[in-house]
Amino acid sequence: MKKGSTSADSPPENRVDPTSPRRTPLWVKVFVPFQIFCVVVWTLPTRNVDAKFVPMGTDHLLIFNQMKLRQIPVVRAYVVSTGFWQYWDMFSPNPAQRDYYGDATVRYRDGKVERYAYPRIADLPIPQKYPAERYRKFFERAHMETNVYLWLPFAQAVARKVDRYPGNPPVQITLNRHWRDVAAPGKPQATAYSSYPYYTYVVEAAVLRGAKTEKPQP
Amino acid sequence: MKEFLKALDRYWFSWGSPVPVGLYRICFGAIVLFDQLMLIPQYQDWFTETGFLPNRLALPWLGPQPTLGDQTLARVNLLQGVTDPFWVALVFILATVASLFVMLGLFTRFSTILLAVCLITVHHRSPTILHGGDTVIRVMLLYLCMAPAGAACSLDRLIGLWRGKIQPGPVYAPLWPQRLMAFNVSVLYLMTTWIKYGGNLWRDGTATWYTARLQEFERFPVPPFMKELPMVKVTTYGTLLVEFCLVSLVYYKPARKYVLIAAIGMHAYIEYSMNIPLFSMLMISSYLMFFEGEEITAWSRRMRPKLARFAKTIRLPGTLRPGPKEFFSAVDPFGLVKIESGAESVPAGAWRGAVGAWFFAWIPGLWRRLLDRGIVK
Repeated sequence: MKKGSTSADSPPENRVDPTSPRRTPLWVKVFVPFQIFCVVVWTLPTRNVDAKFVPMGTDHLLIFNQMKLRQIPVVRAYVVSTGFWQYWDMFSPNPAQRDYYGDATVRYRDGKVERYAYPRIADLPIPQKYPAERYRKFFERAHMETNVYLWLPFAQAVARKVDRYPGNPPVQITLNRHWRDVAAPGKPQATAYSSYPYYTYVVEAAVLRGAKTEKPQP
Repeated sequence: MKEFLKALDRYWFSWGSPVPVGLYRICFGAIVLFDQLMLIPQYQDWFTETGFLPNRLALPWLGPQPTLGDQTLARVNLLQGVTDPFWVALVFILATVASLFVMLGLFTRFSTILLAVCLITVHHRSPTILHGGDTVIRVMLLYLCMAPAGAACSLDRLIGLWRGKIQPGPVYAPLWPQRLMAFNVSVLYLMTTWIKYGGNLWRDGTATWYTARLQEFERFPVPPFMKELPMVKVTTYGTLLVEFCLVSLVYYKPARKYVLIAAIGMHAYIEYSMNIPLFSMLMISSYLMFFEGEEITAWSRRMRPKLARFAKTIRLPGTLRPGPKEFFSAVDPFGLVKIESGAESVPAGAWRGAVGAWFFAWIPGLWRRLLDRGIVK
C-alpha cells in the first residue's frame, strides 16, 4: 500500500479506478479467507461431549468444528500464538445467578484475628467500582475448585498485605467465599450471604520477605 | 454467480477512504490509554511476583503452547519467564505510551505494532484478570496493525500535509482490514446470540431479571420498573434481537442506522447500569467499521450549512503556504474557520470563539504560533 496515495498521483490518461479491487495483492486475497475461517472456527460454541451427551441439530456441526477444524495445527498455532484467540460467552448460555465476593480471615502471632477485605464491588463508591472490576473478575476465577493452583499465591499475597504490625506477623490466612443466589421471578429474594472458608494457609516467614514457595499446603 | 463473486470481491478488496479506521483508531487509543491508567494503581497486585498473580500462574490458565509439526511455538509474550520487575514495568509503560501515540496517530504503524506486542504480552502475562473488553481490545488491535490506521485523522497525516510530503485530496487505502474488523464484530454478536439462545433463561425472557440483581455488577441506580416484569422481557428479548440484527440487518443500508441506534441504546444502558468496564464503549466505537469513509466525509459536508453560525473568519498579515493551508483545512472537517489576508499581525486571541480551532485551542498559543509559521508575508 502506498501511504496517502491519491487520485492525483498519476496523470489522467493512465489513471485507473483508485478504488478497484485489482489493486489488492494476491497474498491479501489468500489471507483474508484464512482469517475469516480461523475466526469462525475459533469462536463457534463448544459442546461438553461426554458419555451422556446426545447431539441434536447443529450439535453435529459444532462437534465436528470442535474435534476437527479447531484442531487443525495451522489454525491453532496462528490463533493461539498471535493473540487472535477469542470467546464471546458473556452472560451466556445463561447469566450468572449467584453473587460472589471474597475476603480472608487473618490470624496474627499474638492470637489477634482480623478480616482482610478483598475489594468488593458492591461496597465501593461508584467512581471506584469501574477500575476495581478486575478484582471481581479475578476472584470469580480464583475461588473455584477448578483453579486450586491460584489459592496458594492468593493467600501468600494476602499475607504480605496484612503484615503491618512489627513483631507480630500473620501466621494463618483463611480464604473465604461468600455467595447469595438470585431467586427466580415471583420467589422471595435472599438477602443473607452464605459463607465457606475454602482454603487455609499457614504463613511461612520467607513468604513475608517476598520469597515465593511452591510447597503445596493441605 | 459471477456477479455475486464480483460483488464479494468489490466488498472485501476495494480501496476507499480510511476515515472510519482513522476515527476508530482515535477512540480505540483513548480507551486503551484510559484502561492502562486505571491499571496503574493495581500494578502491584497483577503484575509483580509478590502480587496475586506471579508470572508462573499464566501458563496453567492459557493452556499448552501451540505446536506446528514438531515445533513448539511461542505466544506473543515478551515476559515469558521474566520476573525482573524492571522489564515488566518497561513493557507496561511502553504499552501506555504507545496507546497515547495510537490515539494521536503519531508514528502510527510503529506505535500500533508496539502497542500490540506490549499489550498482548501483558494479556499473556496475567490472563486471569482479562474480561470481554480486553478480548475486544486485543483482537481489534491486531486488525489495526494491518490497517492504514494513520492514513486519516492522524498527526502523521497532518505533519505530512504541512511539510508537503503528502498530496492533499481524497485518500484511498485498502478496505479489507476494515471489513475484517466489521466481520469480527458481527461474529462476536452472532456467537453470543447463538450461545444465549441455548440458555433457558434467555429463551423464557427472564435473563435480565438475574443480571439486574447481581450486586457485584451494579453501577448507577436504575429505576425499579426496569428490573421488573414486563421490562425484563423487553430487555431480554430486545438484547437477543439487537444482537442478531448486528449480524444481519446492519449490512442492509436502509436499516443500518436504526440497528446501530438500537445497539448504541442497548450498550448505553449496559454501561450505565452495569459495572462492565470499557466493553460498551469499545463496541459502540467499533460500529464505525460499518460505515464507508465517503459517507462520513459526505456527512461532515452536509453539516457545514447547519453549523455555519459557528463559523469564524480570521484575517492574517499574508497568505498561508499550501501545506499549512491543507493542514488547517484537514483539522476543520466542518469548515468552521475561514482564513483571509488583511490584518497587520496574527490576532492574539484568534482561537476564542473559533469552534474549528478545537484541535489547537486546548494548548495555549499553539494555533497562533502555527498560523504565524504557515504565513507567507
